[in-house]
Amino acid sequence: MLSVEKLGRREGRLQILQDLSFDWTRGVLAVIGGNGTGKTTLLRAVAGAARPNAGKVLWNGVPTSRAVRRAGAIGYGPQERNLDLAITLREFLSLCADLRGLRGRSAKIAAVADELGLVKQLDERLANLSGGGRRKAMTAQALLGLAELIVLDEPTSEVDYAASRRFWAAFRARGKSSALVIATHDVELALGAADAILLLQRGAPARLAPASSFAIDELSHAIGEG
Amino acid sequence: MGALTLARLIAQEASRRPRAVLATIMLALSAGFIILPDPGAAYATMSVHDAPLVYTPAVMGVIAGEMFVAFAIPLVMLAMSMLAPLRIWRAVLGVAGGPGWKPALGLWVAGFGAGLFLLSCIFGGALLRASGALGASGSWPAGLWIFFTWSYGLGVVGAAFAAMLYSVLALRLATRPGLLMGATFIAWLVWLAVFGVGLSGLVDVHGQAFAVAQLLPQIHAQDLSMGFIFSSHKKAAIHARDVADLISVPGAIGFLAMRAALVGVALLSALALAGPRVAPLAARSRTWTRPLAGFAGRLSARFGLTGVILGQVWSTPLWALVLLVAAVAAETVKAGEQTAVVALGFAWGLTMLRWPELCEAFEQGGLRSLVRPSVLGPWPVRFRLVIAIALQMSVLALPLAVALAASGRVQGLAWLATQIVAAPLLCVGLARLRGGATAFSLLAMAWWYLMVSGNAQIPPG
Repeated sequence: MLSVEKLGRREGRLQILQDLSFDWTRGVLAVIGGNGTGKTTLLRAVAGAARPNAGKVLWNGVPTSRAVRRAGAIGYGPQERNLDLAITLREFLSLCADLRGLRGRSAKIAAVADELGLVKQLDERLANLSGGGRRKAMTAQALLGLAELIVLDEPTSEVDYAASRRFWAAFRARGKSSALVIATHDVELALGAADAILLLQRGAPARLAPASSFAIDELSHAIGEG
Repeated sequence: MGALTLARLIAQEASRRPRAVLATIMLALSAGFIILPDPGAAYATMSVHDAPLVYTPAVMGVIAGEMFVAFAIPLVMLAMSMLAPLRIWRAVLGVAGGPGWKPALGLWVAGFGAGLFLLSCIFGGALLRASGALGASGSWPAGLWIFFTWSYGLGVVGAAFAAMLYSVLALRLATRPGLLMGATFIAWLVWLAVFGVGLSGLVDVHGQAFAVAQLLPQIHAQDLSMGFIFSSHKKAAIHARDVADLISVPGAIGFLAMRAALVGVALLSALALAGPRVAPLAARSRTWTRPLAGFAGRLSARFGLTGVILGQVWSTPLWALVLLVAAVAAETVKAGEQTAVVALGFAWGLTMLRWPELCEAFEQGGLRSLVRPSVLGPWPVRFRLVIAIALQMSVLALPLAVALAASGRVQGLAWLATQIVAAPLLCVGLARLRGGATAFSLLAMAWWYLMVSGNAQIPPG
């Protein structure tokens, strides 16, 4: 279970997150909020990539910064897509699987490529992929294997609508066995696929509720306010 | 294993970038030419009792190997920055989420391989330059073997420790090139000091500890000078005793075992210092945490393009300026002495080494995007760039100018002014070319070496 306890993060004089607490066991949790509301900061802490200034982020009772070292525990797809490399998508996924200690990498790569519709791009060089293609590569590496916790930061930005729908369907399917925390601006798709939504707003407490309790206008308005 | 996959992919990536490989070869060849003196010249880079040694294959091997050990850190760091830009690789390593030792090991293997590649290029450069010395030894193949064993037997340690530094520093500081450069520079100075002390201890001496004593019977711990600083003076040559390859010299097995152990120490140190995990690229803070940096940011925002470049220079930690001031202080106090020349070389090297980053910004389109949309055409913008860079260089060189003026060294001031004019022109000119940053790096490094080595001295008057 993911436990976020009184999480706080300050950048310089700006308090980005304050006293944020919630638990998440399984399924898709969509994190929605305007720019600068702390989505990426929250996801970095959840993925164990950054330590919070205050509070704790635990996965099954272990700080995520430690849990991430266990093979197959956490998959993280960050916002960056600085992948201007001449290695192919297959090599990239293979390296990620290797470094994460996953076994049977060929089968896992084939499975995730099939799941996300990337089979034809597997032997393309990363440098030749479009922005959306590189974003897909980042998402694919996070979904390698059966990670217990999958953290994705805007996985469908720059991705075309058809692929976005496919991705969200894949996330929903993964949610049956894993916990997914996904930051997104795709309000419509998130409402359709997520089990719950964590709404972050500047100057207001975060709100976690089932997706069905949110209206699309309410979320769009919240994002628009930033 | 992930580490070996990473090393293989880095090599594969480098091989798909032939320009980077070519630049690395050029770097090593030029380093080889700079490091090794002309065998026909009236000086040598290795001396005993203040006298240069006549070239034999073994002497050449000792010079090439130990010089590489001395210079491997900046050479490997520079080569790897061309062959495998870590800022991009870190985007991959950061998301991979594995334990930190795996990427560190992979980078160590890649860095070690690059080090040996550089050593090979230097070896090749030396062969081109001094092949006559091998022929003069009696048997060309035997001379080549002797040269090879001494070069690689000694040089392997430099490659190992440079790879250690690369794997640790580049992983941690890949997103902060200024800090990476500063840390490398300081580590290199420490390495030179340790190397010097270690060498004088090893080379003893009374013929017991190290095989070099067999080669150089005149040797004495206090007298050995590797010469990369003080060698360019005419001296009476002396002959070294003819010896065989490193492997068959008495005492060499123990020595080689110790070198192998040092390679192992470098590898283990890299793994120990690697830390638990490489974090993904850190999102930049939206607020300035340092008041001074905040002030610089607000100020530079008011001055357009000049401000952008100023901001780039300012974003480098203040180490550069602090070291510069320290070096200039040494120059001022010891004006005219050899140590002053060295200090001056370091000081100017710091200034010069900032510019490859600027060229990188050009090459990756950061500043090109400012030039292209100009309605006036690119030339006015380029002109302003030259002015802006010259202004910044003047600011960085201000303490040096004050020191030169205070000591009444007019020619020195003219020499400084020439560089302040030439470097921006070169920088902007090369930045127009693809790969110009690499060319500029090579030139900056060669110039720096000439300064540090005392081969290009500031005019005395």
